[in-house]
Amino acid sequence: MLTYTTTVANETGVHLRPAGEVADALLPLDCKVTVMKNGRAYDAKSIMMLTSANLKYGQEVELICDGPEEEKAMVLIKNLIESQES
Amino acid sequence: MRFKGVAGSPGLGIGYAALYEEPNLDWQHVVYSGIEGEKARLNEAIVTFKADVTEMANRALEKHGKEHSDILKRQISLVRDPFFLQQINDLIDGGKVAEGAVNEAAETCVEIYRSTGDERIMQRITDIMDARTRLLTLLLKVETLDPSTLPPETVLIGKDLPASIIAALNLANLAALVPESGGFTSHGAIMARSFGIPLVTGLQGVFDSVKNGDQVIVDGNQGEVITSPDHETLSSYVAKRQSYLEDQKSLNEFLNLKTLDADGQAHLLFANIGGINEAKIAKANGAEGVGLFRTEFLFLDRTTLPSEEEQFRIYSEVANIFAPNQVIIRTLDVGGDKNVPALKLPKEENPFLGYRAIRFCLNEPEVFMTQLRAILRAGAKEKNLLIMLPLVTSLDEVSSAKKILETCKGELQAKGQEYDQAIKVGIMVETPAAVSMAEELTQVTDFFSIGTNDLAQYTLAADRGNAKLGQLCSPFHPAVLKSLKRVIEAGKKANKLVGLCGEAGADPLMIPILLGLGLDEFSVSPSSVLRVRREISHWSLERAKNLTNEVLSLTTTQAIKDHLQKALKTAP
Repeated sequence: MLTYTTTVANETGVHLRPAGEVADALLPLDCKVTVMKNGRAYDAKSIMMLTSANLKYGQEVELICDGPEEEKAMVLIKNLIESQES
Repeated sequence: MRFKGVAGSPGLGIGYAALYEEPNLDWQHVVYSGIEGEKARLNEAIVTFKADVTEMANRALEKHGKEHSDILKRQISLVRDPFFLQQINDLIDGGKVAEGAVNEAAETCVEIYRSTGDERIMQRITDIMDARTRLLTLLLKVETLDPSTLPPETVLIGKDLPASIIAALNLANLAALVPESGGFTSHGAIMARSFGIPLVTGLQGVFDSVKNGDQVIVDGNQGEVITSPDHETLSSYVAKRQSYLEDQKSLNEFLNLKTLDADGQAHLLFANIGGINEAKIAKANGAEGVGLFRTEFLFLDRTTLPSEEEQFRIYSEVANIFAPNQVIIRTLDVGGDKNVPALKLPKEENPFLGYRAIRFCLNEPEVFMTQLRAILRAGAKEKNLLIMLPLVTSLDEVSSAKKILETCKGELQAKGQEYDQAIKVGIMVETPAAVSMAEELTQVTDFFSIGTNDLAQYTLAADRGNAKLGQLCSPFHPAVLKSLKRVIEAGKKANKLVGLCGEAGADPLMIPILLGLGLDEFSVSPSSVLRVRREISHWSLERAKNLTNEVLSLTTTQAIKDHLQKALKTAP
């Protein structure tokens, strides 16, 4: 299991289009991917869950990847949260 | 019957009606077949959904490009979304039939999107609703129109035509589109323009009065739909379509050519755009650059301002589309007459004479600076972006704007961000004051672009939107023509580029005058580009100059127009 704590880097929050692309890319990976915010867990493979997390600039989140392909998954989810592209 | 609507996409379509109707998706009669049974039905529907939509997306990618296939791909993402599926399965476990479960889960998803309050996310609600409708259609095994297998010469008519339907259409068999609800900038109209399919929208009653297979004429040039035409009407439109198509064909010969007058002298022919979509259409229509990018479209109809990053992305994309040719970006031109909720501009009694455009930007520099930084950065790579200030009346305004621009450069420099250090700054010449000061303004600007619509309105003190004033607000008024002459001459003397970005630039009567006065750059709507290029090719400079001199000696709008019309008729 990999865990990593970071903050949302984009001034306008996490965006739907890249989030959708990342959710699609995570889906086939053999690995559970969770974004923890304020003690709540959101499944990062679900664009609906990620959207409902309503990730805003500067918020602290914990990323948890658990499974054989956790390293690949962590890179994807980390890039999404730390992206500054709007 | 004749229906008047909005011309959404040009061309003439004649064909047979196919009515697109939201299918009847009532599932009250469906009996719960147990958890296993309902889940089996659900899975079957999802498998078919994925297969159908994947095929449509592939076809859309091949025929219409990524943007359109993405609409369909987003639907596939939704039906494999773990949260969405979990919701449906939980609801089935709780005793709901598959249809009810899909519907409720979709509503939950819609609510999630809506509760973010983020406009970009809320726009995606249609994706969920489209996917829901398709899933229910499959579960209920309702017959629906298959957009990919339309018969030849189909005129597709609907109260609404969802983007996902249009994206999946077989264009070869499509004569025209008639979505009753919508406008010129609605998604369907934009898609139709990019496909070159005639579309009329914004009208009522067509759907209810037409039966499948009825003959229909769609005039996308005039915004008219004629159902079950009589023989005479039909043959007149068949002839019209013929000459329209021939005209288009002759225009298309100008597509990849330079803009040359009859002497072989090249002129710049640019387009006026409002966003990325129009930029692409302009490029496809042969525009050599952008003479006016109306950035206010990025600000309208939303409650939050576009961020620097969002603007940067859009400007960069337009810069890339036209590189290495120029793209002139007009900074925010808003006032009390335009709906920009995020700016909270007060309603004014005389918005056209009020707190707007450069006046607003200089007074509230935050918004202005965000835009300037975005433009500066977007110009870093290709160095083909230019900044144009609207509604300038004095040299002070230009100097103040340039001072702010320098501050922005300093900020970017400090942050180590790349930007175009030598970006050019020009002005819209659209006020009588700017005309009177044209010579002096050349000292502080790199280029001029004449906005004829506003220049005529301000020069003649005549509201261009007031129908009672009739032809008063005309660019052919001698006062306006004298202004054009003065501005172009001032620019030429100072060796500054002078363009024109008003509607007048595409008027066949005005083109010889502009050539005769020595205009450097024409900027017209994307759909006019080829027509203007063809028109310019007819004129030798000498003939244009002679005609211009004749016209400038006349004293009334009517005399000028009559003279021009006569000259055009007797043209060699």
